[in-house]
Amino acid sequence: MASISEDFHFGIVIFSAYELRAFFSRMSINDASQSDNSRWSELMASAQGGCESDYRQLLTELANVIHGYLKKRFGDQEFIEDCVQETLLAIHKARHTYDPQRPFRPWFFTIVRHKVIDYLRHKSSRIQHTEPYQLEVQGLVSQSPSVEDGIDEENLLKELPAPHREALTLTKLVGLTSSEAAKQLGISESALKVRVHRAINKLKHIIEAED
Amino acid sequence: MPDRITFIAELSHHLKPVGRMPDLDKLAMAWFVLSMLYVVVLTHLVGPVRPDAFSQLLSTPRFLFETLSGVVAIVYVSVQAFRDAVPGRTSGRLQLLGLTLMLFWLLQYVIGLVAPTLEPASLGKRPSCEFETLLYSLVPLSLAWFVTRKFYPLHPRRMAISLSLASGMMPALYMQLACMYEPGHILLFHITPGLLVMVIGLGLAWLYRVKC
Repeated sequence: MASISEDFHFGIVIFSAYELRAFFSRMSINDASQSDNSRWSELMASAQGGCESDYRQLLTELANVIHGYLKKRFGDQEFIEDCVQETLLAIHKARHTYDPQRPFRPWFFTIVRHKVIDYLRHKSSRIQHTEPYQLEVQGLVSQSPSVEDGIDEENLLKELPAPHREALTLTKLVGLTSSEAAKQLGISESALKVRVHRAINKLKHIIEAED
Repeated sequence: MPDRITFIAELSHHLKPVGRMPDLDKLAMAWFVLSMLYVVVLTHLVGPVRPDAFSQLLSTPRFLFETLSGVVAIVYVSVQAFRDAVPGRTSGRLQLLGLTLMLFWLLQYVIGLVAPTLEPASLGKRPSCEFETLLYSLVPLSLAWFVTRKFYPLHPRRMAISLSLASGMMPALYMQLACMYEPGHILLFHITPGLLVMVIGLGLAWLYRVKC
């Protein structure tokens, strides 16, 4: 009986220690994000006044955050750097709308989330405009497994149904045209477009739900 | 990575100072008050308002509630529309709440078809109330669009729908005091033209997309 009671107390001590550790861990994460928030807010306020060096520092820090955010959600993909720069450009254009009296993170992450979805929506047409030559289909298809390899367990793409994920991966990450990807998957071009559209909408909902 | 460093250097080179961000809620309220004032003055200038309208507001609580729910819905939609011009200030859910308030207000006219708030009468009928509603909303909509498009709307279509809905519903609301009271007439000649203003709003959003 005494042994059961001792085990019970020992269990409570272990549980409490674990809870305390988790609590302090959460506190330190919150503290870190709070300090980032206020530092970025100050840097942006200074940039709004025209300070180049503060603005450069802010954009450098934000670029790293965006890169980490995208890498965690989409894996190590080639499009991430382009997406980071497009988001930085959006932040630059929107910098007059930031109110230093308000927290920085909601303003910043709303732009990031919006630009990611916007980038994925328009990516294929951009490739067609910038690369008039036919893409080397065989070479790109052979890259496909490496793209899939970059999708780890925590990846957002894993949350998509397999047909949607394949369609999105081939068109937006590998960079095939719609007809090439449709041929690869053995479906019509229209069906492929529907799958890509649904995949992007699903991603949008997942990303917005992270709020 | 070197590309990113160069890119950041280009963005921060010769950085121009930007103006201070105004309080969006105060801006939205100022727009609402100015626009409502404009609609009221114009309505009175064009023709007389229904003679017993203001006394009915005091004598019939349901009519007062109907009018006030319209005011609340329009104010809420206006504030959300202005917030939509800046990233991270509103969400789809808050916008949906605005539409729900608007539907709640309009539902009272639908209920009024069966059980009207006031005794339906043609007293105070204005000859072209539908055109008045449509035309009076254009200036408030243009003003709001001119102000908000200078911010950074991430959902211009959604913002345009909210702005045009608020602009269209302002004269539609005042027409229930200025024109005859009959729910069928209100829905067809005041509310429908007010809703049609959303088409103009969508056109503005389309132009914005094309230009950007």
